[in-house]
Amino acid sequence: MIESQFTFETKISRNGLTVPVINNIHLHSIYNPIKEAEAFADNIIQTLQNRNNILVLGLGYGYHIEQIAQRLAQFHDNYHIVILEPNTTLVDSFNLKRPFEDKNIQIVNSLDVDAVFSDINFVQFLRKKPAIVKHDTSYTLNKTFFTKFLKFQAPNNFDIYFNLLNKNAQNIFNTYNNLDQNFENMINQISMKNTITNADFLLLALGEIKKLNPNLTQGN
Amino acid sequence: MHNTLISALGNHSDILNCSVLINSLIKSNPNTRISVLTYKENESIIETIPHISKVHYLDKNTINQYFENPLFSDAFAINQFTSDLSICLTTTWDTIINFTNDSVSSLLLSSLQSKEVIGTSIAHNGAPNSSNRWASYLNYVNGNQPIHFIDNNFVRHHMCNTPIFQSGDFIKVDENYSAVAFKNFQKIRQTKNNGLIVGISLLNDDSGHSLDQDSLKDIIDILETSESYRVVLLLNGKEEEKNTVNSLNKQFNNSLISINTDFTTFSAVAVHLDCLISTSNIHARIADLVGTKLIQISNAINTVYQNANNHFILSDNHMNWSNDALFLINQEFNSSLPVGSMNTDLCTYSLIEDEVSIIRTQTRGPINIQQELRYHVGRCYHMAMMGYPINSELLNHIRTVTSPDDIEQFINESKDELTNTVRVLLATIRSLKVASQSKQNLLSFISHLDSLILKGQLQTLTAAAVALFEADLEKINSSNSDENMKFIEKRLFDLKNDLQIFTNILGELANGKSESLSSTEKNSY
Repeated sequence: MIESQFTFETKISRNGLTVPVINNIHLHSIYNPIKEAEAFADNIIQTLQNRNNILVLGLGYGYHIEQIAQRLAQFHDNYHIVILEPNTTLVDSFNLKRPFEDKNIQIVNSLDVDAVFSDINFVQFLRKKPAIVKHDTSYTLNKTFFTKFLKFQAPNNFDIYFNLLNKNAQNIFNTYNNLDQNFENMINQISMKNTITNADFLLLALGEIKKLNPNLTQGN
Repeated sequence: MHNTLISALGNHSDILNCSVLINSLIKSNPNTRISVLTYKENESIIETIPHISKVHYLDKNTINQYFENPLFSDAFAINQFTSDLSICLTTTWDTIINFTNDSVSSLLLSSLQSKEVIGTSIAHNGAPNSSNRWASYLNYVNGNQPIHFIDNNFVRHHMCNTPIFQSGDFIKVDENYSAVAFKNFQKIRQTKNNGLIVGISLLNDDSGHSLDQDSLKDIIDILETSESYRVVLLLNGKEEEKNTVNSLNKQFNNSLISINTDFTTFSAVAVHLDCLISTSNIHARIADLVGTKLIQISNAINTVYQNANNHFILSDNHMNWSNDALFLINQEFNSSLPVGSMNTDLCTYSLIEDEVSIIRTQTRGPINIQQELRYHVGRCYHMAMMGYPINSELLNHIRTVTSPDDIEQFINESKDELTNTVRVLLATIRSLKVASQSKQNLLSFISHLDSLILKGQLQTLTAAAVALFEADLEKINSSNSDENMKFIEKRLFDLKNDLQIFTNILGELANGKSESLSSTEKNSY
């Protein structure tokens, strides 16, 4: 869904809560969003009991998130919820009207899946292997985005990810910045060089560290 | 200050082993400022080692997590790696030492700025570059041979041109924990008329092997029913260890004492033990560093310990070692605990100090005389090759206490090994001379050289000499082939001299005097 092509409005539920409506689809129950959110969170209670890091696909208007947070707080001393929401209008409206008070909840708002995976904070959160929870209505509305997100594979070639390197790494490895090779091929090429530079030594050392990982096989 | 960086990119045991060298470096030059580069997973252990000013951590697990997951760009692995190394990369070091002699250290140290590199690094042409003959020994001999004739600790000190200081602070002992442990151990001693405390470590060894359960039960039974010993079971909090404690306690009416400590506080416990029985694990290394008597149940013959009087019992899985350990306890503490049988199928070795370093000697169990001769004569040969005088006293002693038949068998087998190597060496020298006259014969020379280098990878007593020769060849960096041929020729004659030392040793062992290499070859033909 492209933002310029959708309609966004808010309605008030029977129990007086704001419900966003996108392309005429209500993101929450128009009768009682809280009750619906409670049922949503109860439905995944086992997951919330076992995991303290949760990635939620779809912000809605945050009712389901708050219910998840309440349950996580019962089970864990520390918890962290990250919400992935591509719709900026929805996020802006939400932040204006009822932003989260809970500091353990964070919204990642981007339409660009590549940009999401370029964000080191988001990547570090993913390293904690969060449980993924779908807000079905949001997911259906943004199916293309979320499908791309779930099927994402990071680009392997050095020239493509060179811009993701920090300044220090870019300075060290700037001679490789046009190299259209993945890490393994770079290592193989360096191994065959007649003269090895200091930067080469570093990459070769990194290659050796990679080999030390029993979960990785050559060429992965 | 002399800024020294030690690369210790190994496991927990490697880190503890480097504490002895660090102590020696500081004692040799108190103006040394020691920094250590190690893996993040060693954080708790490295904090127990004194004299370290700064630790640089390489977060191997995070790096590999980035590499492993296809969602994450390899850029994050590279960023983590360069951030971890940023200070190391921007510092100009006075000395950097490749302590663990691993491939990551060898490559990393090659990229750092330093006035001096000790150990093996990689030259810009890609060849291994050893800083001296001892560094070559560490890399090419001990790095490839399953049995170490000269232990790594000794080799590393020589590599760094630093004397070994047997006294000093090798590991931090937390005073508060130590005071509590002392008080508690006094109470435990009082239950057995101020008796002795034998710690038994339940940690697995570095390869994951645990102590045999039947042996554990048997030795605990004898010690606990004795009048003067108490057992303390030592664990590190793993579920497997707790299960062992529970299972043992069931068999001993919940009367056993167990202590659960992390690595950082174990030294405060170990220092109050009279003896520790353990596999080859961190507890054993810490006990050795604080000077507690150690009986190690081991399935490997190499030792890294620095204290004489430690013992190790060579036991494959599930062989009952309790009698052998009780025998050692009786010997060490003049007690008379019942030992089921004086005969044993297991070999016990004790560490003793000779003029230069710690050596192992078999003290119990079936002796494989040829294996023992190989170790002691082999060690004498390696030491002589590395510049120490031939230990004639040892050779005389061996001649006195060993049957002539056994010595003859050993000498004959050694001469066969020697002849095989010398034959290839002489053929290589001859082919080099021919190749010097005509480049057409170069291929034949290279083929002979390859055959010779392969001899360095065998498990023979002459392999070390060839391996050191190979290390020298790696130093060739000239593009002038004549110069290179001359260099190789010189090294081939150096190898001949090294092999002559072995011939001399065999001569001395046979009849108290040396013989020449050519006669060895002639006799063998």
